[in-house]
Amino acid sequence: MNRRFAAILAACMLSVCMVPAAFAAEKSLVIGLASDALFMDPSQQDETITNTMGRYMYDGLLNSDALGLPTPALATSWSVGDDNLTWTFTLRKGVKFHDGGDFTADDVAYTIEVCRTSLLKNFTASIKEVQIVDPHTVKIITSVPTAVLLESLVPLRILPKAYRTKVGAEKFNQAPVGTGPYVFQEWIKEDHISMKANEAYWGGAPKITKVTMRPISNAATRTAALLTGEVDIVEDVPVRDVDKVKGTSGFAVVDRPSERLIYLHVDANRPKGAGVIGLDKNPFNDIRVRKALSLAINRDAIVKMIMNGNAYPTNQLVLEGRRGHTKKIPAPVFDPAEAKKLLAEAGYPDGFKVYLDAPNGRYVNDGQVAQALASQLTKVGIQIELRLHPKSVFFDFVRPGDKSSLVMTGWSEPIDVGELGNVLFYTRGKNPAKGGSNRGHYANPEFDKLLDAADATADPAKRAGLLEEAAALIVGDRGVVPLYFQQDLYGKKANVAFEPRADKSILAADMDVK
Amino acid sequence: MLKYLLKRIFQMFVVLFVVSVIVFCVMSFTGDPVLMIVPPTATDAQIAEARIALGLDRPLWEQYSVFLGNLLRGDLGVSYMFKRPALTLIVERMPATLELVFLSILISLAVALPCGVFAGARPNSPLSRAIMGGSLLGISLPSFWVGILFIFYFAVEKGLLPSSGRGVTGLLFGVPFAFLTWDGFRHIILPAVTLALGTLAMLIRLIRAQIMEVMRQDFIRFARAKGVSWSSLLFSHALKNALVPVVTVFGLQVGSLIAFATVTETIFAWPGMGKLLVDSINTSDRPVIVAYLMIVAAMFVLINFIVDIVYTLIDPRVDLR
Repeated sequence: MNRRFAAILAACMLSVCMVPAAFAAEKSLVIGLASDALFMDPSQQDETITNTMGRYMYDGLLNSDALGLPTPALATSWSVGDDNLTWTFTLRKGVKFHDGGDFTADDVAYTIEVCRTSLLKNFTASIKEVQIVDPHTVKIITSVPTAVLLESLVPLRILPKAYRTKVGAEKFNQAPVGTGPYVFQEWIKEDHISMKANEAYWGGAPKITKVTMRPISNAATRTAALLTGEVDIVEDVPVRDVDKVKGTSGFAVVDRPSERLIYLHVDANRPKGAGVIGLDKNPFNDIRVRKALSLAINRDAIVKMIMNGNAYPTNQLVLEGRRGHTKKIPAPVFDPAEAKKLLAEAGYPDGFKVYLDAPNGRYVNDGQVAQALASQLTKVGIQIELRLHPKSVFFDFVRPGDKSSLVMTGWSEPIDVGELGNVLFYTRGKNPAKGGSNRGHYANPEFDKLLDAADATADPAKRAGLLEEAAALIVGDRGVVPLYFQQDLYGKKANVAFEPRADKSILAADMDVK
Repeated sequence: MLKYLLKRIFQMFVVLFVVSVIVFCVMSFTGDPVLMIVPPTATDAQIAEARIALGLDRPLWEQYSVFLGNLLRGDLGVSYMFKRPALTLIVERMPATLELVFLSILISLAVALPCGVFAGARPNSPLSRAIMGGSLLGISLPSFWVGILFIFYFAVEKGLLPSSGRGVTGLLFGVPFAFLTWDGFRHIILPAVTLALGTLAMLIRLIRAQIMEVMRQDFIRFARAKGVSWSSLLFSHALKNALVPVVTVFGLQVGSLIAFATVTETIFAWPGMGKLLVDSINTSDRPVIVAYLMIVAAMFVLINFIVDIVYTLIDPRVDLR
């Protein structure tokens, strides 16, 4: 570098440094995201970026902290009646929507009604009735005792009844109004979303006054935009760029375990394996075969070789701190010799052939992970024919569970093992609300009973105990073979103070720029 | 002329009809859009309900006839993902793509015409060989690779240009365009050059081949003997006669740049309509995919029509009847 260029560079850097000094009151943050939001109206879709926008511009009755645990927001306190069904919420007084309208119980009832009629019924599935007691008290009546009611109210972001009914849903989505810490300014599709701080926010005005979100879907470009300084923080740093960002002075990489578990669905109970090749029976009926399956997998090697160390091998179903994470489940063991022995004992000394169905391009490095699994399993005798599907086809293919006996997939569970178990492992056909994505047709009455008991209580501690039992039962039974938790990776400038959250949202309201 | 025009318009409708049938059939083989829309926790009842709400429970031919009926009223359907009219989604993103494509076309013409003519007129000069070597690179290097290389060299290493996005836009007739502001112009340079490279290289090779052929013909020798100046000989005598195939290819190229600037847009996070197509394919958002391809088909038919008109201007012997 010649001297003149160095001088110019120094001058540039100096002027960049001077900018924050000149506008001390203005703190701005540019966030590089992997995709654009689908909606600004949080009642329309349950999707990561849309949910993040729901955190910026709106509040729920409850919000959640970095671990995902519910905290008081528009509701300041609550209590459950003796029937375990009637929940009374006291609402925060003096809260105003960004358009100046007052927040009242009417808005709560309206929001629940909107979600009920949208395709997002899961947000309100447990709610039977909403009663407005007075402008600052609502009663929510659930159809059955619901221990997860508080958690399930978090994604229900409160909409302004007066404004939304006045302008209509379409206009509202383009010019949204909420009570949240940030006020909507502009949304240029696929280019940027800009917001400014809500100075009158009930939780105190955010330190960062101006936020711009930029969708940059190409991962390498996102890294480049961070390194040029165009954005202050990015999500989903690709594994291959981690060292580069870490090695550049003035930048840092932050990580935390993701809620997303990658695991295998096993066809444990049906007499004939839909994905088993050339056999008239289902080898996975035998627990020894299922044990061999788990023993044959070297999770550490997969994480090290394919994920560059950026994942967490596990035998659990949910992250630590969530109900159903339990010490009763031992850490996974890798023992191919024992696996071979168990297969031989079960009557398969020469192994057998089976399809492994996995997505390609849905999860981080999923195709490569599936290939590694195929080779590890084939080594002990579970000979894998790999079927990789593009993500738009994959879920369609595996949902009915009629074409496969072994499926590698992922699940991101924001609440607890009960919610996960109800969707993924509850016996199919017993309860129309449960077991819809039970791709392995796992059927275990004892497991179902524990989940039902957990759902029948409104006491979170009791529920936690039941779910720990349920988790230990199904993992011990190898009805599911957990592989690893993914890792959320963020790249940021060193001057950005940021604590990653379980729900993956980058929330400027909790951040600062030094 | 009028008869010709009517014939072309009729042809256009036939093409669009065929395209719509093909697209509709192919779409039904891709993933189930319902599972992309409902939350992963949805029960079978919710999925069935969503399927009915989207009209996907009906047989394919019925879905198609509904689509066709709506199309005749100018309604291209509503996106499953965005719940907004597909046409609005596309039109919203179109100005960004159009300005990117037109700038890259300007760049490729500005470079390809002089380079191609020169390489054709003086095929043995070292400069011509360099041009041809460069054009071979331009054709063979994939644009996603060139784009990333540009970003890392010009944005990250040298800090000369921004890496991505559209920057500040200015309004022209109420439509936002980036090239109207200095910041926006800086943002458009890298993607426009990346997008131009392939077209540019191909045009150079095509123009060169045509010029070489024309230069061998008698009328060029006569013109030279008559004492026509070198530049006039090249650009008015030779180039004009070399242009007919060039215009054909150029027209098709313009169409495919507009339709499929996808890769470049994704790499540079350029908020154009190409990225919408990719996202829609990933989420099986059929109405958007169908609307997009219909618009693209219409555009190609239109461009070919314009190309035919241009033929008559270049070469009076061409008769449209």
